[in-house]
Amino acid sequence: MRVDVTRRGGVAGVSLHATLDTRQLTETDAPRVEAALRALPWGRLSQGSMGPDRFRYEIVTAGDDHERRVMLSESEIPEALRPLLALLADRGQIRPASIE
Amino acid sequence: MTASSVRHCIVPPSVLHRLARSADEAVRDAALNALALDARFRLARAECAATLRHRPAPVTFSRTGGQPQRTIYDQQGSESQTPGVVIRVEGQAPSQDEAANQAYDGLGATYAYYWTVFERDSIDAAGMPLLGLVHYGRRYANAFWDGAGHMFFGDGDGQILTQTTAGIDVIGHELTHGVTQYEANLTYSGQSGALNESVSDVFGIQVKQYVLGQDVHNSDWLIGADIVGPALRPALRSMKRPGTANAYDDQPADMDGYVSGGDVHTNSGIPNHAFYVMASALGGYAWDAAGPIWYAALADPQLRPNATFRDFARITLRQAQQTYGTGSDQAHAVQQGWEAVKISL
Ligand SMILES: [Zn+2]
Repeated sequence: MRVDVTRRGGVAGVSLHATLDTRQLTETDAPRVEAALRALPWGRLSQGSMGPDRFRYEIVTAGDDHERRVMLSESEIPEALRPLLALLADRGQIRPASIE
Repeated sequence: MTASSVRHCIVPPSVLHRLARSADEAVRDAALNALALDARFRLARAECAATLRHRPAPVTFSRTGGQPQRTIYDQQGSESQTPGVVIRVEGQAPSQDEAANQAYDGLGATYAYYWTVFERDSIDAAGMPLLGLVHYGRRYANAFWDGAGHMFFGDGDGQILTQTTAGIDVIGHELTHGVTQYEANLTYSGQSGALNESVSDVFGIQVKQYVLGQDVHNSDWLIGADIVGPALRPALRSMKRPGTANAYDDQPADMDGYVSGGDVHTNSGIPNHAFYVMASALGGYAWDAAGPIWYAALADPQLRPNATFRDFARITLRQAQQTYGTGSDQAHAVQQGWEAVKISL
């Protein structure tokens, strides 16, 4: 399962982006992450309100016929997705804060 | 200073400020009047101090103030929002944990800055205990104030950020988000969001300057220089030259570069630079006049949560004129600062 993950916010004032594949995860993590991804509130594009300098995530997956997208505040990230975010931290590309 | 010269105020200004933001017009007017009196009283005290060449006794309320109440907890890599294991409490000797000691010192420095310069007793101006939660998350590249008395510190990912407790300016920045929350409560998006961010940088850098005894010319005016990882060196932001702090810095230095719909950390470069220009024009220490003008504007009940840069700029000018005089150097410096970033007053 391929996903585009972007992290925004944080005191550093940069965003972090990566195109990731669940095949890059361990055999134990991959099915758990895929299940957690399927359960996300796809199509919801407004995060719950969070305080200053908190992280916000945008996850986009290219389906067969249409793109799916979801925005999450860091407190809404399910525990099972953490290995994916660790991958983002390892492989992500830094971008200026205001570049979409 | 004799005991009789210590004045007591029945309603603390922080409470008046809250009332002044009340939806009820009568309550608001009454509070605004009381605050105007309070401002004149404070000005009289400042003038008295200048004449007598010493500091008047602090205005005291129910709590005497002047002493932080810090507790540092070890989150042990967890992202739990509840405090973990206590490492160090107020008054205890340094622990073996360097991050814990840095957090303790940074919280103390921020408290000392706000107390000595503004007689503000902690974040809420009412002695709120300061809780520092270190080793939050795994390789967590961030630090934040949660709006409820806790400051969380990540150890950094080693690329974007290193150990976040090492940044005194960053600690001042985060705790100032708390101060803003109790004062203007600037909405965290658009221009008011960029102002919220800028106010945190403005007071964050002053906390660092205060600890290091730096005047406006000795300061590097860089934010986060002590916590950036290799990818963002040499710093997160530059108040002197916005947009030049690192390879990804997209901050504009004036309104010509304003990014419509941009991140709050991007457009904050504009008011950041206005403060730098004003403080530099005045010389000396930033907290002599520049900081107090910005603080008075932040605490001014007429600064609404949805304020624009221009709204804020006008209040800083009015505050400078009221405190120092219409034709004063301070008022001119404020005008110079906003002119430099192309905001017309
Ligand atoms: Zn901030």
